[in-house]
Amino acid sequence: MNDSTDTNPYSGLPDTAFWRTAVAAHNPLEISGLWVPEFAILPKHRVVTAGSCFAQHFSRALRARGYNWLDAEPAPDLLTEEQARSFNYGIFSTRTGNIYTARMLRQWLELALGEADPEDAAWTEVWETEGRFQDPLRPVIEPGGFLSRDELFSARAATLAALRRAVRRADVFVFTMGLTESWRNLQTGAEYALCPGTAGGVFDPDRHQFCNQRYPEIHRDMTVALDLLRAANPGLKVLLTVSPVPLTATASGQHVLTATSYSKSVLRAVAGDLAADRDGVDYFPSYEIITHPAFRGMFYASNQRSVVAKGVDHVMESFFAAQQAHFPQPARQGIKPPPAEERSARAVKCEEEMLDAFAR
Amino acid sequence: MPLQDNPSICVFGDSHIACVKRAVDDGHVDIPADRLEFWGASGPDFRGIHLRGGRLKPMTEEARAQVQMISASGRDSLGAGDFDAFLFVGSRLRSHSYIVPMLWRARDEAGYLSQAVRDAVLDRWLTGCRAYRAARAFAATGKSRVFFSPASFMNDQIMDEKTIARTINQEASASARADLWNGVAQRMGRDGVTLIAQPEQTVTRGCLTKIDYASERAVEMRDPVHKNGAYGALILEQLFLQLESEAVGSQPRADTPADTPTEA
Repeated sequence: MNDSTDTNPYSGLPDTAFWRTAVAAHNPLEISGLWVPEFAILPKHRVVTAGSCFAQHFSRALRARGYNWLDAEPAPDLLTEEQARSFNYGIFSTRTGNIYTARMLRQWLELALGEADPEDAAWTEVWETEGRFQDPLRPVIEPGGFLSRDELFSARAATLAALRRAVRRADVFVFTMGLTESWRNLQTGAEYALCPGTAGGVFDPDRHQFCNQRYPEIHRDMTVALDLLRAANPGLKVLLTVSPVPLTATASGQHVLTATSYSKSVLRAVAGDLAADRDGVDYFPSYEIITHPAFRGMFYASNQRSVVAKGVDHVMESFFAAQQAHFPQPARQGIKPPPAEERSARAVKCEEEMLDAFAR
Repeated sequence: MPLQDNPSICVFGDSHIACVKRAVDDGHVDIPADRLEFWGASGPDFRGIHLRGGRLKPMTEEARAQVQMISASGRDSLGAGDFDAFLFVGSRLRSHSYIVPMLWRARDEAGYLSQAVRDAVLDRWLTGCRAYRAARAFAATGKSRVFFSPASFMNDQIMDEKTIARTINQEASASARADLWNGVAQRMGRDGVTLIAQPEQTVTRGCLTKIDYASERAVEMRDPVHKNGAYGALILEQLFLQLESEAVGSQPRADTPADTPTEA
């Protein structure tokens, strides 16, 4: 007869299955094995990033490491990086601005992929203030607002085209889920990126409705969004994350701390279930790395909300380490230096041109 | 119509001024000016010319040598009052860096830019160019008229077709080009600088320069950049037309109050 410790289901599990060996025995920065990636994300893969503000860290980290982050709506080359960022270029793969909720992602994808009519009243609302126009789907995308309605919709059409292109060309779509709370137009059902009256528009209690989305609705919206992505690009992999950044404010009537717990818990549960149930959908635990008590709050700034650079770095290091551990890649070679020969050849042409014309 | 007063003119720039020199040497154009001088340095050495104390000065040995070769009068520096008019040619302000990518964007459904972004791009193109800042500084003194002819589009038949397909909007229309040039002219105008745009008759395939206007050895040297005397002549003709119209405009008309005696 075997010893019961040799036969129970836990007896053969790895160290990561046990709190003592996986967590308690380690310095927090040495906790590892949190993520077993379902698919490889290699430097050659075209990666699209979208979602709440934490998603932009993915964009930056991928670019910094020479990964093929897809900038589907690039800023004009002449702009400085600072200028480009001021116009919200280069932050996400397209100029959608933050996409905080599953419904917002669904809306953007439905508009981009032809599932929604952009002429419908839901999508033709604009917020006008003193002759400037804001897009309710991304009110802070254009500093100071757009010059006209035409300009607003032309710019949105460009972003939708870029999003369509990004989805079709990408290998991996990274989406960071941010919030459950949102505001919608009561008549049209369109969801706003921000509450009217906060960063644009005028709040009207008869037209604007608060929604604190629950698991079934978020799961449904995400399912529709994932189906749209797959229909547009059957080979597309999706990596879900949940933003560890707490709510700035809640309109739920709860304390902002418990509202944050509710919001993040629901998003985390949806992300986990989608990853478990759907092929080609994975969940990366950036949320846990930042928020879990095992990390002792060390990655938050003193306001207990902002994530410090060290935290972002640790998240991304964990991401790349897990990828390398499960899909080992040879060390990358440095970037080729600019073609000096070509430059000097151009210089020779310039000098010869001058000599021909002026040498006496 | 002759100029009211034949002005003195300085053509300033990098190797792009060679086409203007050729236009003069080859007699492509009559010069209605008392004095036409050239001043500058070729590409790499052009970077050694800086604005110091309101004067353009060669700050490196190489730039000094180039200036010495180019300036017939041996002028070792250049200030706003030295000539009635300055024509900046090329001078690292490249149409290829602004007009061409803007036309390329226009063909892309995701390429739309808001006016604020377009303004920022244009501003950066101009003010990011040291020579343009010098032109602006000269104009601000009010001592001279300042004209700027940016480096023209790349020569056709020199660049490889793959690069052209990837970067050149070959369908770009004359009106699309005109819209962009008008924007440049207005923006330069705010700085007191007058644009001399690439003449439309020299353009082919959206935003390339016809090979007829390429420098004589362009094909042999695989040189997509430099132009010939015929191109330089067109630039000078535009300059003279501008100066002429301004001279005419500055003459008091018979039916204006300025013509009325102010003393009884």
